[in-house]
Amino acid sequence: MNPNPADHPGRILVVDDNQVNRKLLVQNLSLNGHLTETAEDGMLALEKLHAGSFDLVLLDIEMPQLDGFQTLAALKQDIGLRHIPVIMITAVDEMESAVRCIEMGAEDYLPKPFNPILLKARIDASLEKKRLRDAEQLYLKSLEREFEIAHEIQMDFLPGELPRLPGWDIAAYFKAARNVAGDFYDVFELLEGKLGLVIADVCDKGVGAALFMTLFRSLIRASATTDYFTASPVSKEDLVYTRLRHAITLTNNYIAETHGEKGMFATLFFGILDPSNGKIAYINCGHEPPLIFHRPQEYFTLDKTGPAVGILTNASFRIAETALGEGDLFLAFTDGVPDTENKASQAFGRKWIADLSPHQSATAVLHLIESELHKHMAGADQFDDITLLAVRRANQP
Amino acid sequence: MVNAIDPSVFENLKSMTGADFIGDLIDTFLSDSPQQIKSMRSALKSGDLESFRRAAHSLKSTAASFGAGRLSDLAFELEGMARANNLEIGTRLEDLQSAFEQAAKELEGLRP
Repeated sequence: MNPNPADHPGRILVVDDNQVNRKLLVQNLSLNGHLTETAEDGMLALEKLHAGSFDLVLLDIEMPQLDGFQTLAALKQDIGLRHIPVIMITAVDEMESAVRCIEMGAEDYLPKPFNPILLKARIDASLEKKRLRDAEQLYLKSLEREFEIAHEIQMDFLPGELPRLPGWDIAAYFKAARNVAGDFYDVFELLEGKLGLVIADVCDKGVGAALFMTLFRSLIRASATTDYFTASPVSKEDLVYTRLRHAITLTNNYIAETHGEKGMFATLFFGILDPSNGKIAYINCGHEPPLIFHRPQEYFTLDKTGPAVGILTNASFRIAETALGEGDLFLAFTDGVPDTENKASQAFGRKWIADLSPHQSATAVLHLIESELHKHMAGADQFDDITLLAVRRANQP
Repeated sequence: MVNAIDPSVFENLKSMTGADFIGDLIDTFLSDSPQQIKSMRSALKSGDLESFRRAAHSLKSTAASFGAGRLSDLAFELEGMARANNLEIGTRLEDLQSAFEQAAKELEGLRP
């Protein structure tokens, strides 16, 4: 009978104390393909709303018990119901009331006697809006869940527990700007009893950087820990150098050759520490130079020895050496630390370095930096991932 | 004599509900409206302004839906008087009754 049924039928609650109006609306809505329920007053309407699920409420203003205003107010205060659009049914002389209801959160109003074209247009528009809003909410929720999963998986690419070695104190701090990050750090034991120390910052942020972070981290760790060198007749010293060079070259060439078109790269520091004597052989691939403190406010930097990883196939990386003496502190960080800004766009910078002392534990040093950083940000949003890695060699008793 | 029911409003109503259903709606109107007039009478007697106003409001709205212009206008006037705390309504309730009877008679003739 109806040539224009609604594109998206909805469940509609008709609330009116007037029986003729209720019947009229129910009949018209049914002809348009909607499912309807009715309530004679506001109290019954709220009961039905709580018991069922509705896409739209048509609400009369003049009603016994709970009138349209009171019902609308109760509905809009209810967290489980407030998203349901409400169209007020008003008499022609109730314009002021209609305005008041719109201010209270009603979606629209319909004057009585009803005009069928207006009635259909407003109902369809409200239902369509609700449908889009519902779809958007659903999409956002599923997206949120996807990011949660991505975050959980990515956290698995960071060491769950840092190695504990007698005479050494190791701590790390990691705070992603978003759900997933491009920064990472790694600390892992090598076969010869040595310790791999990695800190890196993959260019860009978000999902792309996070995907590459997992690749960089896996390549470095896998290539550094694979034991195909120990059989070769090289000295222990050479073995460290070979591992370092092999891990960085393999990672660099793989990324540059396989993913060159994406233009993704990482600044990365990879050091191999010999816990027996404090020696560190390292390659600094374009990364923010780590610091070694010997005394408070007295430090030197482990400068770059090659370009960022992943840009240029067969780039050359030099190996450098340094050592941590007793009581010395090694501190590496990503540029998220100095670049973090407060609300006035002032960067955290490097002044805080002057306050650091190797006389504190690695954890205490990171706590201090974190608290200074927090003070500096003063509630500003974090735009870059922040990663810190501290290694302290204990004094001999 | 002027029609008690405005044909264009009635046609509009019919197009909303479908011709088959209009008889059912007329039945509801014919059984509900006397109830509302009765409520108004007893509210008038007991001086219950609110009940009087509410019944007049409801009748006004239903009558307007059917295009019963005079009935709706009278109900509207009575609703306004009650809102203004004025129940010196003279013979308006009798006028309302006769407007309803006139509308009812015409509606009977308009059934499909």
